[in-house]
Amino acid sequence: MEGLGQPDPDLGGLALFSDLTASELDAVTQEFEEEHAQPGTRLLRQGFDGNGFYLVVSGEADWLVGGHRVDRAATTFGMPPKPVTLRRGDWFGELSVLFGEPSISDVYALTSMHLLVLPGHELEGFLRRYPKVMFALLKGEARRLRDPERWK
Amino acid sequence: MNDERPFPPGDYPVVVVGTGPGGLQLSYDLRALGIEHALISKDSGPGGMFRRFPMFGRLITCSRPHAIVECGCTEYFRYDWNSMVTSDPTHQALVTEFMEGDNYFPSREEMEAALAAFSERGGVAARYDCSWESTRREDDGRFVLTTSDGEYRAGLLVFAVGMIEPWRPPTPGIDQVPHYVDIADSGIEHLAGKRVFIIGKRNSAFEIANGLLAHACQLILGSPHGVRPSISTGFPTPPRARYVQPLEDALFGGGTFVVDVALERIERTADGYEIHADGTTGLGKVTFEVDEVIACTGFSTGLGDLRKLGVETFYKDRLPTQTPYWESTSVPGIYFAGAATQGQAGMRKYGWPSHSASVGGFRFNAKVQSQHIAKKHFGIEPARPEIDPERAVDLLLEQVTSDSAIWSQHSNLARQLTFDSDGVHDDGIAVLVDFVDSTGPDAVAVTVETNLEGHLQPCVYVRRHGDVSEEVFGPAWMNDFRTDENRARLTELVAGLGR
Repeated sequence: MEGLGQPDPDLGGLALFSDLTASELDAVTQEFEEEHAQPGTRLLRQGFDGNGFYLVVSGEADWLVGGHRVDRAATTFGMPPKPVTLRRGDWFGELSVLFGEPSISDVYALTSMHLLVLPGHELEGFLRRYPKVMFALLKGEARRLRDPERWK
Repeated sequence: MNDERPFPPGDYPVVVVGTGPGGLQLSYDLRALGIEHALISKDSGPGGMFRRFPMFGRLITCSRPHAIVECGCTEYFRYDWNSMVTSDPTHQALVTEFMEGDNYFPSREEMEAALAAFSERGGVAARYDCSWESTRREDDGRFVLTTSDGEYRAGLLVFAVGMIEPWRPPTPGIDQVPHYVDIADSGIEHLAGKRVFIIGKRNSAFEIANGLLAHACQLILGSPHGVRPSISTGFPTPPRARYVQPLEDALFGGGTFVVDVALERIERTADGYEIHADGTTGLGKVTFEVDEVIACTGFSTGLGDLRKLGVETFYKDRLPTQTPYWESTSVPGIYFAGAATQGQAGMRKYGWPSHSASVGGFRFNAKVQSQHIAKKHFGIEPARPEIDPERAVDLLLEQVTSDSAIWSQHSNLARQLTFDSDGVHDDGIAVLVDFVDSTGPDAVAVTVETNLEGHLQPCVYVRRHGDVSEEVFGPAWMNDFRTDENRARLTELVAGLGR
């Protein structure tokens, strides 16, 4: 595709990008490709390699492990399953990318969705180029660990 | 005087709009399946965008005059990214037939000549000089296309209208400057000796910059994002290798600058333009004073009034949202062919986008799409030849080593064999994302993927009792995957399928 063009002004409101200046936001969002998903589209596939890092701009998605809707942190701590819906500002795919392993989950679009996607192998370089985004991502991951029941 | 053009206005099962390579290939494939349709075009002859672009002479995609396989055989097309694919050798019009032989990038004229020859030899008739003007849907669900020649009614519409409408971001002042497409009309002579700012760093920007190296006295390419040419990303992202000379010129300090800036506004001055920008890599604000500015900010699909009909779009309203078979997600019955099929991104394995933005990829989409249309809307089942089960593994390894569709659409198209109680059947080329995410009988699909190290490797998807698993095979010398190790592993994977 020939260029993403200028970003939606709304993108600055996403937690991941909230600390960026306008010009940084302009550059950051051009690193991503845009993707549209219709309801039912499988965005992340459990057991599959070569995944990307996704950021939800609009719409909702289900996060599933073994076909069951569960809380992401619950898979780590053995907590009771609690369904999670991914919404605007949430991201997914980062664990598979950071660990270089197949995804441990499926993500399905519940509604029509607008997403930004970054190829997995570009995530590390992207985060190093934009430490403000890396810090925002770190805070998001920490929040999920601290308060898995209410990580949103 | 009688109008001898084919496909007069009237009722047709399908109407295809557009006679670029996307429309021509789809029309050919539909006809081969016996699907009656009208092909109409606003142009006066075949070729689509190649009647006008690229403006600096040669395409970005290659056609290898000499390949390791015989020119024109089914395995050849991975070495020729531009020729239309035919089922009958007498219909073939390889682009190399029209090339001088001194370059493996065809010129625009050579590409246009090859498409014209394909139309003639393949019997791809079209009604030219017939402009699509508006679209509506009747109460009975059929579509009505109003054209310069009258009304066409059809149950299905396919739009192969290219992605060449100029698109500009909402930067203040950008409307004052010409877009890439305007340069095709104006030429570049007036840019000789000028300081030229090119907005953008994708293929169209680098194509212009490359063409201006011998003309402009200073070139500046500016956009917020850094350059990552295909030779560094490992997949066909822009800019492609063909146009990276300006990048080298910038690196060597030769009068070209490639800058990472967010444009704030463009102002006309007595002598030219001022471009006010903010560096995105920490250098701060800057104002560029130049003589000319060209917006190489991309393109959008020529959707006409389809949005009013309910066709949803994304990518800043530039591409229609599509199903895996390139049907509108919001208006069933409207399909897209050609470059617009890049709106279906595929699985993006290891970051690889679909290769549907270029002829090399979307010509194979057309074959899959025509079979899908034939089956879904006309009840025509595709041929599924039975395969000797003992041959299945070797066939899969042969295909993943040499099949042109697989090699032209890495991790998007795959060769599929189905194992059921009737035996093993060759389903031909499948859309991988559909195979992986849908249920069905036990089956195997193979494709080629590029791993994180940039090596090409086979990937095997096995559907057993409804669940699909992924099996990544390793790279092999000379990309020949017909190894004993792969044969043994694949034999193990398919064992028991269909039982």
